[in-house]
Amino acid sequence: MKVLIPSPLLSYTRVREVQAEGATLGGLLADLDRQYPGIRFRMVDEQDSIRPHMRIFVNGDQVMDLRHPLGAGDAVQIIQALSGG
Amino acid sequence: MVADLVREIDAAELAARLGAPAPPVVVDVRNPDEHAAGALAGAMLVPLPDLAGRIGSLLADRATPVAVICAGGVRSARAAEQLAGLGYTRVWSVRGGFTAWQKAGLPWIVPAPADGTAPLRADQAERYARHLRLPEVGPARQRRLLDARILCIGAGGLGSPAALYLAAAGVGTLGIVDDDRVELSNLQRQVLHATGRVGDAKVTSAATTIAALNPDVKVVQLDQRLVDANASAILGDYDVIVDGSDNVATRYLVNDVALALGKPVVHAAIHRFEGQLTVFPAGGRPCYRCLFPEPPPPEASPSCAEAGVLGVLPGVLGILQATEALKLILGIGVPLAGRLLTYDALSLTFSEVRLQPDAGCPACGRQ
Repeated sequence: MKVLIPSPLLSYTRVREVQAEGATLGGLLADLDRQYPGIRFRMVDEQDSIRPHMRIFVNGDQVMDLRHPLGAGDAVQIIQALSGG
Repeated sequence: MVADLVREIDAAELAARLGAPAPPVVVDVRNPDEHAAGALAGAMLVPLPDLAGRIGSLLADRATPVAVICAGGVRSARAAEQLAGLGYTRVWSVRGGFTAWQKAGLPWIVPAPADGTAPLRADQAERYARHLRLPEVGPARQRRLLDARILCIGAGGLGSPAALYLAAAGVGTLGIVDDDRVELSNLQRQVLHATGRVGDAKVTSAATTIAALNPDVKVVQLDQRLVDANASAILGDYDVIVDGSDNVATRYLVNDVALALGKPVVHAAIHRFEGQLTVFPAGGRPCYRCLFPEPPPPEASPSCAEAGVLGVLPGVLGILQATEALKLILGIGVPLAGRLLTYDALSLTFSEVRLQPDAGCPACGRQ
């Protein structure tokens, strides 16, 4: 499914829109990490909590639980707090 | 077709007749929105649909000379025929209507708003003419803009375009808080400033540019850093806060103080080719801490100086901030509250996600 990567993580993916698969949000992040090693740890901490400056939205709604089920048609957007002005 | 006994006169002839003895009564048959945006002084507003029903009580003497005017001369011709049919004997329709009158450079006024606020000056009516044409703005809400107070946090990449457009729109008081000096490397995006003002305080440079653009605007120059000790006093003076700061610590401070004061915040932030925009409504819910409970570590949130930024990117976001601020003051449209817009310049795509208030939010959750 389609995943939008925030600008500060483009150093991993190079492109903003990538494809990844997973039956759950956790599975999707694991697939992203296989493709782009290290990217998961930028989003999720050692306790498997989404980092407080990263937010993940599935079809426009925020999801906090990595067990959240995903389907092939879902669209995921990852958003990071930006500071620049 | 204008009936035989109704004559058309042009704007110059009407002006001459208004200056001569026994001038005609000018009846403006446009709708109230059109009239409110500008009209002949002393004209009687009777919209065409009301004319037949109301004119008898307004002008009992059917021998009174009457000049009928509309926007372009079509409705006034029909109105003049109606008046002739009702027995008025000296009726003129103004060819080209109020548009021709304005084009001829003849004097006109913006009628005082019905709510008793002060009318606009003639130069303001001309400056804001395109606003006055909009039913969503008009003279009463333009007056509201002139009476409004907006605070721009930062006169940098976001604050520059935001302040410029807010000033152009006639926001009467713009506070600008920034303790930086203008640097040459700012000028790739910070369009408030100028090469000749490198080294000057940004707030002074901003005031110079805005004064040249619109002398209606009073710029409050706050050449200081926004900190805990001054934030309440500064934010408390304004109706809407436009956050264009360049660090997350200031963003949390703005959030917390605006929340306590009940002020709406128009928030934007940028990185390289990407921008984010949202409105945190007066009273929060959701607020910035609901969205991001904690700041990113410093290495994950580089500044524009560290990361680089496409110069035009903050232009897009800053103008969207100005748009949202104007909507809040005018009370029109649907604000971007509870929604976060992201903009990617490289793919030219906007996307939107829904924000949820966080019941456990330390800033707004216990309200």
